[in-house]
Amino acid sequence: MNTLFVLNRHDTDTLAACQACLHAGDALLLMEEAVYLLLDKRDVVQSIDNFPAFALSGDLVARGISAKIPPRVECVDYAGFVALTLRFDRIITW
Amino acid sequence: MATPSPRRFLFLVSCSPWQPRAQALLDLLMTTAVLDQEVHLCFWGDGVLHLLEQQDGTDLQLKTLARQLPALELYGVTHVYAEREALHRHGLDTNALLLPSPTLLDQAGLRQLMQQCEIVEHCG
Repeated sequence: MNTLFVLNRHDTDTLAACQACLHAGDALLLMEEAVYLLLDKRDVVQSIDNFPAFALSGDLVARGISAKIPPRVECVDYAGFVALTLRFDRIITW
Repeated sequence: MATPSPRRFLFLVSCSPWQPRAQALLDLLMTTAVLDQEVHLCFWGDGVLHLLEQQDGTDLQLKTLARQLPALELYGVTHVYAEREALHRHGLDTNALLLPSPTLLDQAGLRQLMQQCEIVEHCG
């Protein structure tokens, strides 16, 4: 069962806990305050290098970090967010 | 009646820009500055994220707090500080901040600043 993990807090401990639960076929979506994780020492993204990673574009723009995120992180708008929720079997929000 | 001498306030911001309490602290800071008090503003920890350029909450229908920061100088708020280590941790370039040339502080510098100020308001 493929899972989309949704993070909305700027908390590396939460990310680490989530990371431990990721399996092949899973993906991570960062939104709200969690998009700041993409600024914190780029190893945050490297730590989830084997998994697709997405970030909500509105939250990136609001925080002024659209141009600062690693290229492998895909930006999605709300329509893309909805599409993601349909693509995965389940959603877990941390 | 003699005018009382201004008091020295430190506003310490350690929460990110999109926390409601950040707006409340900025409102308090501006009120304090309008009343001709000596205001010091320090961005600490996640508070340095206020200094990111090009923040825009329009798509989220949110008021962009960052747009108020450049106006602080008009209120006489010129003592601005930022945590050096937090800027580094978040990958922020000191030459590309919303407020130019804040004084960079470490823990010892913050401690000294707090000792120099009579009133400290913290938003964390």
